[in-house]
Amino acid sequence: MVTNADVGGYDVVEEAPKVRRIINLVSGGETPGYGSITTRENLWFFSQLYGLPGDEARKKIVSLIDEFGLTVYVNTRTHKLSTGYRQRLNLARGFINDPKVLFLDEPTLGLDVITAKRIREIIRSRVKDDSGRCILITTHYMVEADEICDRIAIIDRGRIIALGTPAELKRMVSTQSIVILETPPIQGGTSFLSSVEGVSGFSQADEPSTGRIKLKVVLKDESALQSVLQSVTSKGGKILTLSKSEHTLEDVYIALVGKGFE
Amino acid sequence: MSNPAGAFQINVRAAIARARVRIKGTLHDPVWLIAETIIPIFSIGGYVLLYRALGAPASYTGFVIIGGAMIAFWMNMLWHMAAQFYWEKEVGNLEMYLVAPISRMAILLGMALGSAITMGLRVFGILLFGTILFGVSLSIGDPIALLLIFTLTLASLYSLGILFSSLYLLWGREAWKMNELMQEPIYFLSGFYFQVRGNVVVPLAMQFAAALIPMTFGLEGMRRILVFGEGLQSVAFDIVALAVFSVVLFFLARMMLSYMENLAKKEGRLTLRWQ
Repeated sequence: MVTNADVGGYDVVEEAPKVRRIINLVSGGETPGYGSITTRENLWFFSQLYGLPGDEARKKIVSLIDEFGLTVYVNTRTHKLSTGYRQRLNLARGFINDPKVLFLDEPTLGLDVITAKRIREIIRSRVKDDSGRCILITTHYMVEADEICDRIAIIDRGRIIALGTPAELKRMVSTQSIVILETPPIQGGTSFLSSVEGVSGFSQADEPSTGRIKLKVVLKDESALQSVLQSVTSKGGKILTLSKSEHTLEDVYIALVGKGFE
Repeated sequence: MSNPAGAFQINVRAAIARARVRIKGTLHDPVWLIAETIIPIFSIGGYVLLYRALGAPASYTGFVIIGGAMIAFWMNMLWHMAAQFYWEKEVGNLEMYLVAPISRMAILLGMALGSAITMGLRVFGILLFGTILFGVSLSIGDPIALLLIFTLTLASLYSLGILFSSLYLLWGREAWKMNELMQEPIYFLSGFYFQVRGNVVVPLAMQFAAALIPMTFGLEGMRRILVFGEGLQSVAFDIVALAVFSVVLFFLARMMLSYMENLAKKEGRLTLRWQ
């Protein structure tokens, strides 16, 4: 049982104020700050929560505004900003004290593809070549985790069930095969697949445009494919397409947790 | 960060920053100025006309002007400070305050300071319009006594505000009902529109109950100085009472805030939304 914890060498209970100086937190979907003041004023406000002196705060704000592409909206009251720009501001705020440890909770939640990509680039550049800095991200986007994380922990029901680099995690399921098949909706659902011998896990996605469902099935070995096809057809399904897939982090998750995201 | 600031310095900066946010946010919205200075004149005017129609002494009009001006601070303490702490939690600011190396008291003090300054504008506006429109003559008998009374009234009110803010941490939206519950009885008891102490028509029990509200002493003291032109000696009792309220309420508020914060942390609902 863990009895103590430290961040940056400081005990989280005994030296909490010191810990707070070197950390920060950004939650996706949250818009902290004050809508009635401008982007610059909001950043200035948060800089003062970390005691940044006037000149240092001003320089830091200028550099963050530039880095996060907020220049156009620097004097705009933040209630007028779009969701994407608010999230940029939110992230800029997270870097205001140049934290050694930054906690990012779903940083690209609800953002358009371009903004999300830009944010991932910024996150990546912040930790690149800086071994003294750590960004801890919680995300449900496996592609995002694969793209920007050096180390990944998969958590299921509050427990870490796998920990390693993206490559290490993918190797964990490299002996397994992944097949994707499409079928019309099956009456009674697809939960029967989890009891088919040789199936490690599966996920299901509805395809409204075609009226089909797409099943991604992780097999312990390819010999289990026959049983899967038989069980699908015996439950009233019809194999419309069948293909093999490369391993992704989502496959690792499915294989380890036994089901797709709910 | 070069030369990291000390804890005290950070808290002072945080309090000033929070006060600036409040002031800037208010000044960005000019409608506020009209709503806070012109609109209250209507309710004050109603009482002034009523007293005049009843042939009440001229001093009663002065009571109403001062009461109407000071209501701003009471409302501010209840709605703009305690309730705003709930709003801070809803938008995610409370989490930022918990992560930052600052005391929650610094934020609350900043909120109090900012609102005291913006409310000062309202008070000035009401006194100005009130005296011009209704011909009320207010004179500052003793500026030091007035400053003392005013400062201590604000100190005790905002300590009470911090005390209520801690309840918002625990009760969430439910605490709004408490505000509504307290609003009208306190208007009545503390005598915003009439004198309580020494008023023969106000029952003793009510005068006693009014003595439990710091605002009563603030209003009484200010009326004595501004309406009757009295000095420090005649308001000494009110100054002492307000000083006691300020100190006791401040310590109570600190204790309560710390207790409620720890309790809310243990129960894991400090950052829960839509409670």
